Amino acid sequence: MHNPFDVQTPENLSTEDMISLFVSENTDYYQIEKAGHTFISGPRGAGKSMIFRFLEPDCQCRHTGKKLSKLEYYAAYIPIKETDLNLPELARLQAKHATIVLNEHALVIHVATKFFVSLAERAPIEGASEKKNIQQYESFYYDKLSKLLFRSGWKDELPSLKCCKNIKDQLKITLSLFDDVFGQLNHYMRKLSFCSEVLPYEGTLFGYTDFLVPLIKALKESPFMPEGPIFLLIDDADNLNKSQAMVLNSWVARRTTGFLCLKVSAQEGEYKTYASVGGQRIDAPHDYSEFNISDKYTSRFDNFKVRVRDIIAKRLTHHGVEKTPEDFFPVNKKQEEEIKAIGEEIAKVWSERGRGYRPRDDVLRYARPEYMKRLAGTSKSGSTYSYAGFEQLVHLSSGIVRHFLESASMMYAETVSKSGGEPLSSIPHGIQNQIANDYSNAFLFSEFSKVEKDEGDPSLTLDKPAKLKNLINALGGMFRQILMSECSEQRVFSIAFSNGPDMEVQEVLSLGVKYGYFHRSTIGNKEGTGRVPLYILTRRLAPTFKLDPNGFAGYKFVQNEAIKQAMYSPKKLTNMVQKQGFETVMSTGGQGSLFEND
Amino acid sequence: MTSAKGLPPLPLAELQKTMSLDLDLFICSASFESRSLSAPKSLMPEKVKKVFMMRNENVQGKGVEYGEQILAHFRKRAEMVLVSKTSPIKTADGLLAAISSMELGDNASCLVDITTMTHEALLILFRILNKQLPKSVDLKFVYSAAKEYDPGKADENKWLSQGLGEVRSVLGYPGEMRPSRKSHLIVLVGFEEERARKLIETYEPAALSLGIGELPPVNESHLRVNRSHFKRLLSSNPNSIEFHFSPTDPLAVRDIVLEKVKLFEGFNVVIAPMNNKISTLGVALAAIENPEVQICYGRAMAYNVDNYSTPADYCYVFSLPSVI
Repeated sequence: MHNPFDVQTPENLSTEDMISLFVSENTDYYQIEKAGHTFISGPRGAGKSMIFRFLEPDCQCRHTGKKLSKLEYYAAYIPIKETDLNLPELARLQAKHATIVLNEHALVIHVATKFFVSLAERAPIEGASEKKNIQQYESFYYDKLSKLLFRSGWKDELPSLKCCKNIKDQLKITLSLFDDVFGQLNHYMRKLSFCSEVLPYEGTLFGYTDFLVPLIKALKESPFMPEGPIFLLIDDADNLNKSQAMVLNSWVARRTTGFLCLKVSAQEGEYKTYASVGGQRIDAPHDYSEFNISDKYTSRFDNFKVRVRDIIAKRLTHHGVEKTPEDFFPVNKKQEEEIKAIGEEIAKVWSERGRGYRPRDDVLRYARPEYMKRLAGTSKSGSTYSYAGFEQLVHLSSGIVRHFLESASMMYAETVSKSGGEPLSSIPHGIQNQIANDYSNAFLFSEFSKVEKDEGDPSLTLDKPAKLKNLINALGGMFRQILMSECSEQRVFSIAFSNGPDMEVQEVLSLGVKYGYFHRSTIGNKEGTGRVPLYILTRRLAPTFKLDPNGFAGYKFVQNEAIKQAMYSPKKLTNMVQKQGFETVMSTGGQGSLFEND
Repeated sequence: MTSAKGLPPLPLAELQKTMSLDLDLFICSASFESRSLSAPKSLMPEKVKKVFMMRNENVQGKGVEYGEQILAHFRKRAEMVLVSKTSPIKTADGLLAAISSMELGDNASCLVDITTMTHEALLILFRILNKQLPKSVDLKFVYSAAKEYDPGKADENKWLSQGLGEVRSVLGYPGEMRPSRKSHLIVLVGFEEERARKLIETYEPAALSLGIGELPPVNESHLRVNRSHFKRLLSSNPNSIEFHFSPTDPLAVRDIVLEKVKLFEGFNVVIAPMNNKISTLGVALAAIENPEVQICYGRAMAYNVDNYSTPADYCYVFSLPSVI
């Protein structure tokens, strides 16, 4: 039985699957669609590649019902894999001017090739076999492209288009031409391998302004191309080396946005540099607009919920299940009734003991934490709290659609294995809760071992992954203590720095952001004079630390030294917090010396 | 000396005896593994005219100590060549300068101990030897076997390296990549499952072939560990093609790899040799015979420097006459 929540690489999804699965509302899709250069950052699984895939012409033609030539823009997908442009021979040219020139050449060939791959594989070209269109492409090929090639140093005759029966055949021959240009670079690399002298490069040499820009301008004049701008969707640009990133930044600095816009995605904090070849930095909003794809969740949960709801509803319909997401992922009714009853108690005493402006505010803020406290009080463990229910699961996915889909896929598989092959109409709350807990624990334990393996340094007693794990455990434990307390803000998932963070703390937090354990944002400082970094613990870990993932969550100001202590001796710190309270220990520097003995 | 059934093991005590003449050049590598001492200490210093001992510039663990032992063993005949894990150019330049300084006459004899070189350094050295040495040189290779990897640990807990750093093509083996094409990745799987998994994730190949070194003769305990890693890799890559090779027969490895290359015509082919060094030389032979294929290397973030292996008391000696 096919699982409706399976996650596939967007690059490999068919047009049909994209149309039935992609949800454009409440994403940054409409921002990216605007003309202009754009940088998009965010963690893996947040949906960057999915948006890029949907912008491609096959999806756009199907989505809008328009012909290719009538689209608002043409978006070509340019993936950058770590191994595409990582040529060790180029290191021979380091600190020599040619390194930039040849890196730009390599990048231009890559982009131009992928552009033609896009035309060959993703563009529904009308009348691709019509004589006039074939002739039109011939004229582009023999007049414009050949001139650009000869100007760039190409010396051979162009491969003939004579036997081509349609434009797709012509595009394949054009692609072989670009392969040959890359072959020249490859040949040069071979010669560089074991030669320490500077060897002159005598092959074809492409640049952005003298080749790529006029090439794209010329292609834009083809009758099958839209009149609007061309978007180059450069995905995973963090895989470019520093020289290539500088080259790309120089392209961004050029004013080509009238007809050519660069849409650059990178994993947060991983893009090598924002300096251009001349040394000047490119800046937002002057040179480009930028946004973080996960900010939508951290700042506007409702938007994210609506988006996930639409995605899940589409997947259920696609699978023939006529249920709403809320019905398919039901809450634990008994638990919700008990929470409702606690809410009524709170509302009743609001006039005497209320803390919010309205009874409803107090109910929303305190009913669920109170329920969790009572559970802990009776069973000495909060583990019986149920994380079932669509909305709660959306909160647990912490702004990453893939997190929701992965856990939903496991819930589905588990339910199927217990249903004896019967069609499913919902996922029992027990299974939802069990998988939500497993998924959370796996993130902190088995998945964390990947961070340890990939980023660990066994020569250190306490390396960065170990510090990160300590910090997560300390914060998770302290947030649980706050939830169990009587303070006014009981749901806390974030910390902001009243001083710092210093380099060591920042490196550990950045590692956490890279692997999705934290989201990074900013918030106004205590003095109201500027902004400070805010780090939000992923709500995916709520079941592991028995936290309440629902609704608005507050943040706490912390001192850099306190966070450092959490990295070095988390147990000592959490014990102190339990005895003295969070504010005393974490916010006012009462945690004592970092290296005091226990 | 190679055969279809793999190389015959040779007791280390008999290594010197198999060298019919004095050695004009011996190239070896010092590492944190005590195995790096096995072949050098089995040779009589007075029977060797010149020794180049490769050593990583930031060698960890006992690498410095073992390097000093090798240098002391051969005394003034020995010279250290520093190589780099992060800069293949530095490695190539150091080796090239050393080998170019030798004037090896007709029928000179040369022995290379490949045991503890990194795969990348070995491949670069092989390319340089192929380029620099006259064809008349009698070139042999020696590989000292390991008795056990990560000794004392249960099979499921054994590890040799952690993490995957930069992934790059190996200097001298760039292949003839065509950006418009899809890629076919061929991995010769060894102990380092995690590194192989990350490498596959990095390439996201359209086609994947996974090879296991289980054709005899093989060390049964190594094979048991390899099999469990291999099974896990297969299950996480259900569309991959499985093949088998002999880890002690470089010519057979070359042939099977060249056969697998043909499976996907019109694809860029990248090979990741992650099994032992003998099979890595087989991959080098394949890439030299078919220059369209690229060899890649994924640097580990950390090695199990304190408990990598224990040495066995035998080695394999072989030559590759078809190349030099």
